[in-house]
Amino acid sequence: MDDRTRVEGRVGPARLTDSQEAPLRMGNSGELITQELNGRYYEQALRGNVYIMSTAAAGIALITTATTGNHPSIWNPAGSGVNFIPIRMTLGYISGNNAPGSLGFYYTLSAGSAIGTAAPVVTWTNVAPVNALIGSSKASLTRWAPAVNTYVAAPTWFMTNGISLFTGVATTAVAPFSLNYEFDGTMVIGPGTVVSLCSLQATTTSLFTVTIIGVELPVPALAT
Amino acid sequence: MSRAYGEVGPKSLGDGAEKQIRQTAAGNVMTQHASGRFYELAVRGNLFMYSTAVAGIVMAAPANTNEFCIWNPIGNGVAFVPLKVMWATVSGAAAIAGSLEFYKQINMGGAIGTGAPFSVFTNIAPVPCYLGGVNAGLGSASACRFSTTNTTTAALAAVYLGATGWSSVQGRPADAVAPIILSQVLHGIVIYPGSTFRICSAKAQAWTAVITVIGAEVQLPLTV
Repeated sequence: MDDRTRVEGRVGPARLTDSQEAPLRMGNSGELITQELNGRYYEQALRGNVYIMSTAAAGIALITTATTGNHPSIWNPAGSGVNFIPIRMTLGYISGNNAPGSLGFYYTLSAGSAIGTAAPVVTWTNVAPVNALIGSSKASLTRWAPAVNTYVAAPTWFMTNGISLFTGVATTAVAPFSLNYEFDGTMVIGPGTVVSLCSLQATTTSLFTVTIIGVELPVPALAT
Repeated sequence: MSRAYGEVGPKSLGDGAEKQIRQTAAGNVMTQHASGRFYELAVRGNLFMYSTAVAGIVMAAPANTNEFCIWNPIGNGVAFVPLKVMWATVSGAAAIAGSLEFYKQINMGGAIGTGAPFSVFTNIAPVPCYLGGVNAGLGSASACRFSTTNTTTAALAAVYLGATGWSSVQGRPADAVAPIILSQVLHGIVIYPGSTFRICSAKAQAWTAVITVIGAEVQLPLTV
């Protein structure tokens, strides 16, 4: 006996009222027509899985990779049982003259979970990420050190985020600008990994605030 | 045969509840993001980053040598799908007015050597986007190859594929302009085995830049 079920919808718009049951809407090519509800990550935020990580409002200089660290860094400690998936990074210009250069992401693999002189992460001043469900007491398993951290080995380069700085100064007459990087799920920070935001060239002479928003989800049990 | 019905309007459901799918008043199916757009590919080990060295590369006009090149070798059974491109300046003098372009090559085989499509191709191992990940679908190593040091047989020179949308005029890093961000999501380019995906400048530039492409390696349904 054929036990397959054929699922059908209905092509074209309908005029429906609340609580009415209706076939799912389809397009003329047979595609399912969908529409996003609420903000894109509302469901995860409501479940307490979205966290906001920010530097101090005074801003910081962005430093080239080095063992002396002090880069805005995210550390998913080994054994956390979660992946951290960055959603968006936003930079705000605070003060100072820009110098030519660009910004990128660097990583430290096998970073363990402990801080110590013999550990990959030597020092780490943690600033607790803020749950995007404002008012929630659920704490992040991922750590955030916006300004104070040091390493045994300098973090390793792996990608640009496309942000270039030129020689603008605070008094230069240019239009306002925005610096946002959308990760689109293309970076997953697994347990035992640190990701840092660094300058590719010298330390930036201007100060920026940095905010990174991301989702923390259990590591899935996938077939290898 | 079964016709799928949803229900119009808001609901307030607890975990484990079974109910019709929510619809809009036009019959559209309402959806919500679970995580970043490409998270599933990343966590399954199908997503890789292809970055130049941190020192950057000179943005050359199309030639047969030393271009940003991702090569999907013939016979490896995967399609390469570029999803995201980022570009940032490193250094240099005045730019030449022009733009950045995508290029392609076909019939590039799978071998390197005298008489082969590539006589030189110095591979830079792509980095999995699941940093520190424990799950790897196709394996933690990319099936594609990436190089900024390469030589192509003249008869197989790169062919223009399309514009990136990024243009330059005669600005210099020393010019007082606002920071910029060049980051783009691509939709629907598929690089078949035996083909390449390249990024070049329409005109030879005096400056260097770092480039990162993030792309998926997707198992082909047919052996190619």
